[in-house]
Amino acid sequence: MTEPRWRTWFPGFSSFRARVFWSVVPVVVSFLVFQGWMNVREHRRLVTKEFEKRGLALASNLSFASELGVFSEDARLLEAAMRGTLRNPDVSYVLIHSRAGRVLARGGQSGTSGTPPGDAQGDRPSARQVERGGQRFLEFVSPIVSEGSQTPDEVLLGARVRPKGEEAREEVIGAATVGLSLAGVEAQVRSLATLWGGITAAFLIVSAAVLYGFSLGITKPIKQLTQQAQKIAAGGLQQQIAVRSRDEIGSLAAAFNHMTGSLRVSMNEKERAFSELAELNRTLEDRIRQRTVELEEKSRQLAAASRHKSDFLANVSHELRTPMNAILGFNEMILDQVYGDISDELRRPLSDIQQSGRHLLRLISDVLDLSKIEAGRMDLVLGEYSVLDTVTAVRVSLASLAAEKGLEFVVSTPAEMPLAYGDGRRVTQCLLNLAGNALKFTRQGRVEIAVDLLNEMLRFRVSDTGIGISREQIDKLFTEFQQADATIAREFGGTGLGLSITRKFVEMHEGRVWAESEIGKGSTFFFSIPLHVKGPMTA
Amino acid sequence: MSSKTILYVEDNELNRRIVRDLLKRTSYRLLEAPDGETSLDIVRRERPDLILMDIQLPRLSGIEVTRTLRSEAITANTPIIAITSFALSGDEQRAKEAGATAYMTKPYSPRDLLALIRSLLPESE
Repeated sequence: MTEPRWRTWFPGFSSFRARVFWSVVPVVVSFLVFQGWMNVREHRRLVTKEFEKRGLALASNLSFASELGVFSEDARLLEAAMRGTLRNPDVSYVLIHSRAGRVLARGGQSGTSGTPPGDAQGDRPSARQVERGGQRFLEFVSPIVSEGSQTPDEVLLGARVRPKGEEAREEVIGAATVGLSLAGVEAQVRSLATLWGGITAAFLIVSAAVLYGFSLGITKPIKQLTQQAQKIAAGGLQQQIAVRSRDEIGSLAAAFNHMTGSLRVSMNEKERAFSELAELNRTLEDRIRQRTVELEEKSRQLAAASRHKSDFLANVSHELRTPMNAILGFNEMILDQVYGDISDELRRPLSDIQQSGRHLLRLISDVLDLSKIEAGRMDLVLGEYSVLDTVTAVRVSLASLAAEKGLEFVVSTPAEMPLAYGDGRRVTQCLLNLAGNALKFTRQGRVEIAVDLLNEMLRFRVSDTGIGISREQIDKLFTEFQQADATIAREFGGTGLGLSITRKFVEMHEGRVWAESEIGKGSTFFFSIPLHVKGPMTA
Repeated sequence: MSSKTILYVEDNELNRRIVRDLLKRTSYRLLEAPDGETSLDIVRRERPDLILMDIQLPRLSGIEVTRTLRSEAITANTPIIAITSFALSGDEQRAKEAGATAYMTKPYSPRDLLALIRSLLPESE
């Protein structure tokens, strides 16, 4: 905001004190000046009026006193009459004219060659201001009147002794002029004006001082308040303003102190709340840190537990193989009559033992594989392998099962196929899983294994004429394996593991597995993998 | 004595008994060793015609024993059948690299094992 122009002219106007000063002083000063002027004027008027009265009286008296002198034209008499008048200090000069205007006598200041009063012809005294020799005078002219039948006694005595009813016979025989100097009056007026000027100046000084003191009394607490507010703004809440006056400023200061007190209290509360909050924060941080440490420890423990689980499963799986080896080995030797002939009745249950044992072994293998996959320790062992050998191996290992169930078991492969690159054992395992399932879920009809090569992609197909699988179940088989695992295992006799392992191995080969099925008509499972996988893959 | 000698290196008594029972009706003479160190002593002393080597052995593993046997002149060409416990763990690969002639995966079929032995070491007529 730009400063208003008047402020640049009156820079002192912005402060409160200056404003008070400048709002009061001109009024007082103009009042005093006006009053002084009025006083002087009135005084001058009164003095002048008094002067006139005196002058008129003097002139009138002189005219009476000089009646005889004029009448007789006796200079001695006239001078005697004038002497009394001239004794008055204000009288500067006296003139007595004859009726013709001749000066009969003069007195007082020299050089006052009075001119005959032109307009003093009336029978009434008059006054006028004249200037003679650079001086101003108030001149009074009074006609000298004589009564026609004046007796010498009358003239001498100055008394009129006249019989009643006798008409006066008045006649103007001359004029008496008295000049009063105005210097005295003017001096008086001047001194009065000077006095008033002095009074005005003194009043001005005193009032300025008083105003200054008064405004100081107002502005000092305001200034204090301002400084206080600045200190409080800077954070010094301990400040207290000394409350001295009982006026508005005093109550403002009191209110200010009260506010400061409240502020102090609320600031203290705020600080306490802050420190409590900070303490809480610290506690919280400590707790979080503690919990984080605990969680990290838990996480480490869990990871270790997961590793231990995998190791445990691997160990269990290994440990299970030794008794399994013994069970299957001894049982097979019994069946092979290493220990002697066996009856036909015994051969049947011994075969069941053998078959269940092999099933159990496969489950153990699946569990081991799965635990390795989950632990991320499953590595493909890459190498060249024959796809036709793979299919043959599967056919050979499942031929007896197909024969037992009386199922037609067909394998259709191209006459020749190039060697593939990948983990042949895992591919064999995948095909074995699918074909094993197909045989398991087919009561009658046929199971077919087929493989073809298209655009460097191997496609394995296992179709059956079994019970079929619904669309939802197929989706579960492949997408919700983890959750559906237990149900599927219960429903289909532990095949869930085989399917999920198959899917995992196929994916490790950068391939995919899918199925088509119709309830009651049968299912077809596919998986396709590259003829040559690119590099070593881990689950 | 014209019968061929087979050494079976295996720490588990039950498994050793399977092979013992299996070979009872054959003309093969069976020697047994419960660990790798013992097997090396027996090999140097008895010079078997075929060795069945379990890979999972305490202390000295079957892989190491196989490697040692292959480095020695008297057993450089002796058929060694490695018996691996993890069917798909890559043990057979390592066994082959160490010098094993063939391998069987545990649990093995005694019938298949005997067939393998016979193919590598025909019984004396």
